[in-house]
Amino acid sequence: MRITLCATALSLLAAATACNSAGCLDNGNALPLAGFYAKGSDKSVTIDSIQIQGIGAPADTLLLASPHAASQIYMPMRPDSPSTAWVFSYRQRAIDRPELNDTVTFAVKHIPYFVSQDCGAMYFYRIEGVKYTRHLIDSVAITDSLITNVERERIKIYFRVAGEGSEL
Amino acid sequence: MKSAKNMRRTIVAATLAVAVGAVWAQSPRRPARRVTPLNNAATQTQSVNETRNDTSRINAARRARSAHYHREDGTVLYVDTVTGDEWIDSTGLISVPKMQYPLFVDASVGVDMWSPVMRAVGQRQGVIGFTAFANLHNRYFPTFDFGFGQSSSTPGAQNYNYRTKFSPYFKIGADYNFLYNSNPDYKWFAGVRYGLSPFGWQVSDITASPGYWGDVPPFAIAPQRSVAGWFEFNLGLSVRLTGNLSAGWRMIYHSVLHQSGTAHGNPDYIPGYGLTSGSPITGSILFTYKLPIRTKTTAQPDTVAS
Repeated sequence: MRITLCATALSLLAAATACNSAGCLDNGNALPLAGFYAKGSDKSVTIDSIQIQGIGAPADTLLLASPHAASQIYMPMRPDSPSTAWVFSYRQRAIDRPELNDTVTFAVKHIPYFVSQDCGAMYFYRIEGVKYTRHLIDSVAITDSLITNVERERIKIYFRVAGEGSEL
Repeated sequence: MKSAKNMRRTIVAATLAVAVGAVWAQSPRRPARRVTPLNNAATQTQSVNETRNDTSRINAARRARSAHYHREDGTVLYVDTVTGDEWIDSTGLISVPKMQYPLFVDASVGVDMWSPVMRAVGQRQGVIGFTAFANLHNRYFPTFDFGFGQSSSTPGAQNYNYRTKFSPYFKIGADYNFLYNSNPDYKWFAGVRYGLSPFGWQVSDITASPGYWGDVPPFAIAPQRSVAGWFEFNLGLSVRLTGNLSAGWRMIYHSVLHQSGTAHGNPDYIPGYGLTSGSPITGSILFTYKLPIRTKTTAQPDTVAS
């Protein structure tokens, strides 16, 4: 009887210790989220027919292909290079000219980071600098230079927009 | 003469009364004023009757008409000045059970087999623990624990190998035996601990799924150093098996109090604590040996039945 009680108690104890956490509640990767804004304001804008491509991406893959419209986009950093560059092309009829394309280049520091047993290990990124052309982009702001797996908008790209309308 | 004067006064008074009555009768009728009696015989006796058997009121009334004295043992002696009765306020009495064991009863050392047992059933962390404690009055057990931890694991469906170097841990605390005046062969106790461990850890073979930029070369987190402290609360049982050998188990609730983070994240495993992302409940399986130390006083315990 005593042995049975002890075995039962130890089994319950082992079962209690086996209960783990609820899993990874954040992203499985550190992805910078960029938002589009109108110049001189914090008003979000939706850019119509915009195309975004990473310079040096395998097979010239597009991150965002026209004719999609977007007001936010994840812009993954290159894991094998200290800089990541993106080309913004505008495919609207009036401004669909290569000389109006914009380029945004981020200089980043890679930080190998162990998040948790559930989320795993991944690269975090520290944005150490940003360069950009100013054709239709007015400015780029970094609200938090440390890119983690917590979903939050950390990059703000301000565009020159035609008027109060929300599209270029 | 005098009676004639009285007669005249009576007639005048009667005439005045008739006149006042006539005026009152001719005036408009006023509503009758209603009065609800707040204090009548019923309301004055009702509360008395309802609280007649209330012990607290009876005692309060008794104290009000009593004198009281503080005795040497700290209790208060009341004397009823009407009846002369004496009584003690029993709420002021504190009964302290007499210690049936001397201050120092014995000392023991032991080994914690929780980690080896859990390793045998598949756990990938932990090595072994040791303990030493003194038995004071068979009631208080100041305890010192130490041991070693190590880990090397690649969790299922994860992209890394996590390793903790073979590192020590230390705990200090005490247990309280609820069966302190019973047979010392049986103990049912609760206790607290503070644990501390300096240790090193690293993560290797980190792989990531191909993304927009294609394949990601494997990377690693170089060896890191951390120090962590934690709190434990435990409940447990212990019984004597044979001779000086006892065995027991305890259920432990623990929580990290502090840890030195690094630029590359917080550790997943703390020696002596376990997985930081795991359950806050863990356990301990203890085998202890009572050291053959002769104590000055050998107490005869109460029987378990008493």
